[in-house]
Amino acid sequence: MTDTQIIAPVPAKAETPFAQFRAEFFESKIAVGALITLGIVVVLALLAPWITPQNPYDLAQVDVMDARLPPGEEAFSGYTMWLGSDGSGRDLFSAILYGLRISLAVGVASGVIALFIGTFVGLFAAYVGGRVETLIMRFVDLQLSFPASLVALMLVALLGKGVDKIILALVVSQWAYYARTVRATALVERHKEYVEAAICLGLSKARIMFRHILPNCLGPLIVVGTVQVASAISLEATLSFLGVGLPQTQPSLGVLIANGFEYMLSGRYWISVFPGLALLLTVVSINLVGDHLRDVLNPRMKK
Amino acid sequence: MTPILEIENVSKRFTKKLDAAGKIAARLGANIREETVHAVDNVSMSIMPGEVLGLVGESGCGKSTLGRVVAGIHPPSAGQLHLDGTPINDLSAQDKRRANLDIQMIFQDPSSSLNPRMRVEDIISEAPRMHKMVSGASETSDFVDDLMRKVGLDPVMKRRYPHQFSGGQRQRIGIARALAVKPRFLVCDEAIAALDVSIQAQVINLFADLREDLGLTYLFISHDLSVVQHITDRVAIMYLGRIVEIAPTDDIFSTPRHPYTRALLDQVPRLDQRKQDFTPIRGEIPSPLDPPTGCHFHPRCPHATDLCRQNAPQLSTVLSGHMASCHHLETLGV
Repeated sequence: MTDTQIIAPVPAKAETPFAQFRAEFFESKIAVGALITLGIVVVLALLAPWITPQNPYDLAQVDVMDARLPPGEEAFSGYTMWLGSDGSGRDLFSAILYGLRISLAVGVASGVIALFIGTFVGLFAAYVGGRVETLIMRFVDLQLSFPASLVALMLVALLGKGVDKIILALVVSQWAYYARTVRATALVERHKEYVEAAICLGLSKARIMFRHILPNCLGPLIVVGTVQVASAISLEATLSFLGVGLPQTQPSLGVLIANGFEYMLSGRYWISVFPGLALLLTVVSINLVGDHLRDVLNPRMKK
Repeated sequence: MTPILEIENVSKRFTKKLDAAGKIAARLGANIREETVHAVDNVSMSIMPGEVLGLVGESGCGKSTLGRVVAGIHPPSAGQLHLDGTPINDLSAQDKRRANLDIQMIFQDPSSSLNPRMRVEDIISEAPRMHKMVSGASETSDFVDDLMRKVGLDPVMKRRYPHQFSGGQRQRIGIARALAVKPRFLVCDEAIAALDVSIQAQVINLFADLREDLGLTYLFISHDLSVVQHITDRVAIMYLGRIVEIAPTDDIFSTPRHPYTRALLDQVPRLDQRKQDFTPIRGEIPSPLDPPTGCHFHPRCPHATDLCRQNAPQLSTVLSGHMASCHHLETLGV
């Protein structure tokens, strides 16, 4: 009876899921604009040591005579300070790019570490179930009922200043978001028929969790990850602004904004406003990219 | 001949436990309690090698749950399964694994039963690789090509993802995945219900071919009586977790004995009875949370008596191979 078998024809166009995703992502002009802005910000931050006229950390290059120059003024050592200078004579353009390096590094590092910890905890909770899951998830709920900034503030107050300490504080205040996302998605995926098929085929539990369920949780995870990196950056800026984040020797955007704050009322707006704008641009573009990622990766929003 | 599979007094209950808040609310007099669903209630039957047994019933009667218990996805709450006469639970770990692979399942929804992030070749070859049934890249590749051809798919497409296939093709991928572990028994859970009618015929023919080529035995779960009549050797009718009638296909369609089976068969539209008014079975299928006492069908049965309301009837033999569970089989006649 083999003649009844039909060899199905090859569909004309074979699109990989990634190509499809890319095409859909680039449909939104706002998201593309945000992605380009973000790309420029990241490239500028990475290239900071080579494109800035001054290394704001090198005291030999900073001249107090240049302090509080308005935007466009020429510095004592000859170059133009397009964004002006701050209270100790640092060129703001250079300081912002160096500050972006620190802000982005702290945000991404804490985001990635929290993502790994949260994913593992969330997947473990969904995997073991029962009492252990309840215990873990109630702890997650408990932590999420406090504002992240409060948790981070308390931790930094306990630990002290420093890049490592602030990353630790950010990880502790953010891992719970990832854990909750992963666990919720994993619980949905666990009841789908492809998981039942995998059980029926005798695959190990670990394999089902990591090879079948985890890859299908990546969509929501990427979205939460992007949004959380943005919130980590603004949280770090908040802490630094309050004076409990990074030390003066490693000025992130938050420290720069804080430094300029005392000059605001004397009309020297640029010292705070330009780092503030840089922070705004970064956080908003990450959020826009994240929002659009969510729309594209959510199968229910598919046309 | 020993049956390939024997289902012995199998029950499956799902209990929704109360959490701490629920317990406190219940203590304070709120109208909530632990809820137990008797999805499958003390079912026994046996299936012979090479047979196609149809399992028919309304939605929510527990036929899919029974299929999942048979396929080893859900452990039974009570009772046990025998494969080739041996209880599966008594087997050694290795034999038990083999026994579980011997029974595979084809799912209803071909789009959710395939992992969307895996390529077809990985979907098909994952289990055999994990169970060391194939090894090495070229052997695996040949193995996948062979299986895809067997189910009527072009092996050229093996690097594709499931969403790039049509519903019928996806169902073929699901069949190939099940066949990859060399099963002897397939549980088809509404395996064609989600497909177009023309595609249904192709997939049914594929099942028939595979039965011949590989000597497979099927438990064919469906609510489509015409398909069941066409392809099964025997049919079991299920109502609210219990088997109410089981008989060779011809017998059940010509001389149904149980009032529920009769009501069910009366509703099949036929060309020769086009003018007939359909009389739906009275009432809804009762909630399995609160099954009726006695015979589960009594609230909807036109012949119900006090006996039916108090005692649950047992399956009894009407003719050889034809069993029904009703207190009034004699009085109802043929």
